Amino acid sequence: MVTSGNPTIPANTIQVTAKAAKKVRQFAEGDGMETFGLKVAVKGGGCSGLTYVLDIVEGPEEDDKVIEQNGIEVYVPKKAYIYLAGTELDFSDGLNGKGFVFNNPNATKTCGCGESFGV
Amino acid sequence: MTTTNSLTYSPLRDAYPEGASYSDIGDRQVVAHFSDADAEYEAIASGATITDHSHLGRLTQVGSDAIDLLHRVTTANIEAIPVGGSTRTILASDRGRIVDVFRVVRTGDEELLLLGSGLFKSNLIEMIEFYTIIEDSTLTDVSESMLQLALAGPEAESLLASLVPAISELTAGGITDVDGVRYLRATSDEAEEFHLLMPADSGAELWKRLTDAGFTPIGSQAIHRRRIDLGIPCAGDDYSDRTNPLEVGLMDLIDFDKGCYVGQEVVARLDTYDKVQRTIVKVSSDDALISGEDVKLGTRTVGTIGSVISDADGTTALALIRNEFADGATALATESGTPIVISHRDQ
Repeated sequence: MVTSGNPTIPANTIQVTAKAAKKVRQFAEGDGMETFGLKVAVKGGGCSGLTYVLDIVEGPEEDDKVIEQNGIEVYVPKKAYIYLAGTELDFSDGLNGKGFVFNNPNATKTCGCGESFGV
Repeated sequence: MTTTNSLTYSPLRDAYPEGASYSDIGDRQVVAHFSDADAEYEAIASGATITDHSHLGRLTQVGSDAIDLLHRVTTANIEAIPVGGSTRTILASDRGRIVDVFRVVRTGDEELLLLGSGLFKSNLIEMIEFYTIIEDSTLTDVSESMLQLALAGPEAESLLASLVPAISELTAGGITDVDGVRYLRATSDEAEEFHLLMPADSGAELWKRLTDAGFTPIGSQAIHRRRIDLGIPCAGDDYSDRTNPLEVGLMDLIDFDKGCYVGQEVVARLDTYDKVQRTIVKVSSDDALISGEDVKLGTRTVGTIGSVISDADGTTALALIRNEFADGATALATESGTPIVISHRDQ
């Protein structure tokens, strides 16, 4: 098996931790959404060149790859998948928490604020 | 001067006056001078001139995400450009090095025209396409189907206004379309000129009309000399993917308040902590200088020669010199032993 930076995550998927999935569910229910999924994508921009996109949406778009993780459907545009394969999405809370955190084995550098990365 | 069969000429070549002399710029044969290069220099310094810029790069970028995308990846505030306006910007690498310096013209709500160096066009296309992932944005190279002329010199505006009165109303960076020609007032601190954009098949007729009206055709040599006089760096000779924008005086093209863009962290750090190591200066010598040659203090390399122009009085050039030696107080020479004298770009 080919593994990512985190040896427990296969390189051909994206993993959402239980903590991150719970937080997504809380946000969606807070917004009164009955059906929802988590859109995870990448767009150009940011100090290091590529920026993460994270959004709670009602359903997938035509070109999205759909992955089920911890009871959450994750939608990843196929063009963005190459930059995200093997990524773990976690949630860091508490006083020093950073919110949603991407542990992306494809990222060769990240900017200081952690919002963008380079490959 | 070299000529190879693979180099291409401007579509306006047949409209040129007799006697044009050519030089290579990238993969194009570009007019170096039409007649006397010194007379052409005098024309741009004191008259009204016309130059064929068809060898430069022209791209369109269209789509609902086009403006947002370019705003996120380049140094200027692209979102602030009104329809019919333009601004210059820099696409840098994530290490803060220059990919290309270009003008962005907002031609519609979701349409941009990018006017770049030409020399780095393929790099610009490659990088913008790399950053176009989920965005609705289509980049098209229109360099062959759209021509570009530049009108310059202190008399250019009044002469052009006598033919096209609407250009008098243009503010800096503004565009107006008259009879199938797009007129752009491309003002900067150093120089004012107008860029004219038109379909390739109508360029020859406009060229004739403008030269008949009194615009003097000039080649790249006079432009080059004028640019060096004004201390304006150019792609290739003075900056490349090994140069950061702050070294070559392109600070004005960076919006330090807009937030992130590619390379922002490096550029902001260099500026905040005053870590820029080199600065661009004007240098002169009685002997020949060679673009790309190292500048030495003894055996230590302290700079590089950039754009060079020579005449009977000697050679003038732009050079990137380490800050501690850029005040001209220390005697420097090129690696071949030619002494150089430094003067700052604004002197």
